[in-house]
Amino acid sequence: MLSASFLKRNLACIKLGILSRISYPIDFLMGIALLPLCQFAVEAAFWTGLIGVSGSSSLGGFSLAYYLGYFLWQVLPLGGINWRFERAMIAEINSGAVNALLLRPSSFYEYHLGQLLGQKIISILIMAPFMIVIAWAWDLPFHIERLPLALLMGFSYVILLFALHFAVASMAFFLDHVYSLNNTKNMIIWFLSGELLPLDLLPSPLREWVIALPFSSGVYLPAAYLSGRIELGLFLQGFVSLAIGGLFFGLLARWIWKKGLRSYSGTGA
Amino acid sequence: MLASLKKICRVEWALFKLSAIADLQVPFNIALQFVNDILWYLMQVVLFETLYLHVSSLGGWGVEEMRVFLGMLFLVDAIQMILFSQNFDQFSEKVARRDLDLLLLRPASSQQLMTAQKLQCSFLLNALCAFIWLIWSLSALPGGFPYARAPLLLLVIPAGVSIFYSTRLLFCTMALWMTRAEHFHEFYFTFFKIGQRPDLLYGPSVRYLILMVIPVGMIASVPTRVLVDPTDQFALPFLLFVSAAFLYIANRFWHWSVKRYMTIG
Repeated sequence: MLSASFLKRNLACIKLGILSRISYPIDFLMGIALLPLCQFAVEAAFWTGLIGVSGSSSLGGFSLAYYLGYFLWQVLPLGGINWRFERAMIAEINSGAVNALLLRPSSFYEYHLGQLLGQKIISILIMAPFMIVIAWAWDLPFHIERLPLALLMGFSYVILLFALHFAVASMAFFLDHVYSLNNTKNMIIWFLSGELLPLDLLPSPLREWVIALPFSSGVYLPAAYLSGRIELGLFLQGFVSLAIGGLFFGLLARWIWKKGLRSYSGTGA
Repeated sequence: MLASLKKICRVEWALFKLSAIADLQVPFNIALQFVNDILWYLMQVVLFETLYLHVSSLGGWGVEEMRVFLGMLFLVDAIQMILFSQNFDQFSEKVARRDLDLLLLRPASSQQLMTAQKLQCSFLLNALCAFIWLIWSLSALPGGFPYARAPLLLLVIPAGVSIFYSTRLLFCTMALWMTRAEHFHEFYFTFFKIGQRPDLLYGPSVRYLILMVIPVGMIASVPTRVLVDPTDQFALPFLLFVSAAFLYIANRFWHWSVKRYMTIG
């Protein structure tokens, strides 16, 4: 009974996320399709130019096609950080809009996680075909049979990252300006996930340390696995670090939220 | 012309003092903003230093020239963070909340009030760090950097900032044309990402785009070329012309959009 209502509630949140995303068609089109494609085009232009002017046909042992295949993952918004979404959570706590949610028979956590997942689902449904067409048209190394596992890792990473976002957003109960702290977190994740550059280019032992962290499951591991830069063994290690990281950040988020809520209620909200 | 410039400077100084007082209320935030920008610098440095572990030269630039490029990028970015960034970040929201309506009634430039009302004084420290990095990287150039060329900094840095400002304004002004324009803002940063890398790395069509159409390549690449390559006689006049032209175009586009906004109501 409890699980049925839980499922129903969360499906409603996912639906809300999808509907709120498509209610502004131009904004939706820009955010879901045009922007990720442009980001891919920017990376493609950079790495093409870089390898072109370096005077070599490869960089770090990989040809240009492997780099393009790697950055193709960014067309799917699974690894990237979502600044707008986190800002909304922080603003709700800062402004007291969170009160309306606290009174309802659902949690702030599932309300936002459901919406975030809804947004990701609609984005992937639209962008996955684009990714496949680009890989096919440009003849990029793209192992389509690996896509389901890569997507599974991508969604697991979204849930892990959401726990971290939630922990930072909950700091808004204690601090007036959490936005900067949020930016600090995002800046670090941007590098650690492999969005800036493929992590295998980093010098050893930094490379091994960074890949072992759960953040590499955001971009590096799925993108490298899909494009054939790494094999299954290393890829599967990502699920282990995701599980450990998820548990850690989940507990951290829960602790900060509970503590924040107590001090918030205590100040008269 | 001179009188209006003086007025703009006077208003800006007053806004700076107000912003500084507001910023100093939250010292923790100032420290974090400083750290964030330093982190961003660090990421860019890591990117290029890592790449230079695998190659010796990129488009004729060695790691020393690339460090000058990064110094220029950091300094221009820090200056725009102080003067405009927060205003542009909230631009679309301000339009949606109709804050612009009130600003249009004030006896000051609506463009100035929309784009330079809230300054972020915490980034002064970042600007200082970026300036030190730039001077260090210039002094570390293989042939050295003659002091006689130092006054060029007074031309190329404002030109880079002016191009940054005008291109951002062009994108943000789109908020006056549609209900939600947040993605135009994000779209700008996608373009700016191209400008975060030297234009010499790109193919001819991309270079044309980032130097002539949306000149984000002029923010740091061309100013760096002026500094590191004395033989490039074309770079400085081209940079000054584009910065002046885009400032004018952005201003005209703003006025035209505001006029349309006021007509619609």
